[in-house]
Amino acid sequence: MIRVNLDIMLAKRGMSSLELAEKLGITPANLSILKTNKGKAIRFSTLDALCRILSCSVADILEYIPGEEEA
Amino acid sequence: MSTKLLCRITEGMLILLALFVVFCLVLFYIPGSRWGAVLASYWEGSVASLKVFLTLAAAFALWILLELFLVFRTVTGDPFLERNVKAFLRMGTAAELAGLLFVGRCFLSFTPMTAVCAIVMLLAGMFALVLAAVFRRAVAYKAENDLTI
Repeated sequence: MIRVNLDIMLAKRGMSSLELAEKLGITPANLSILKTNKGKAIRFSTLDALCRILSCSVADILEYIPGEEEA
Repeated sequence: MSTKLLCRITEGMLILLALFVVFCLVLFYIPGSRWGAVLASYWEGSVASLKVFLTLAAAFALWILLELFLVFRTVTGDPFLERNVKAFLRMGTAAELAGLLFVGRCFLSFTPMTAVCAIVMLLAGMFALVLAAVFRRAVAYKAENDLTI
C-alpha cells in the first residue's frame, strides 16, 4: 500500500494543516482525507503543489509499504 | 427550463398521478358505484378477486410513484446516492410484481389491454433494475472521484 507521510513533513516544516490546505487551494476536509490515507487517488497537480510548498520530493510524501494491500 | 422547475413539475405530476390512483380505488370501493359496476363487467371472475387484483395493482402503482417521488427530490442536489440505488431496485421489484399480476390476470380474464399492461410493466421493471445497476456504478465512480485529492 501507499502511505501518505504528510503529517511528518508538516511537522518537519513547522506548518499547520490549515495553512497547507490554504496554500494548496483545497479544503481542510480534503487534506484530512489525504493525511489519514483515506484518499483513493492524488492528482499530479496536487502532488506538484505539495512538493513545491513543502520543498521536498515525492518520496518524502508518499511511501510504499510492501505486503499490505490497498483497502 | 431549469432542472429545478422541471423537477417541481414532475413531482407535482407524480402527486397528481398518485391521487388519481387513490381516487380510482376509492371510487371502486364505494358501494353501488357505477365505476365498480363498469369494471366488474370486464371481469370474468368474482368481484372479490377483482377487488384483490385492483387493490394490489394500485398498491404497486403507489409504491412505484412514492419511490420515484423520493428519487426526484434528490435530483436537484446529489442524486448519486446508495439510497437511490435501493429505490430503483424496489421500483423495479414493484413493477415486475405488478407485471406478474397482470400476466396472472391474462390467464384468468384475458383482454388485449391486460397483455399490453403486463408487457409494459415487465419492461418498466427491467428498465428500473438496469437503471439501479447503472446508478450503483455511478455511485462508485462518484465516491472515487470525491476521494481523489
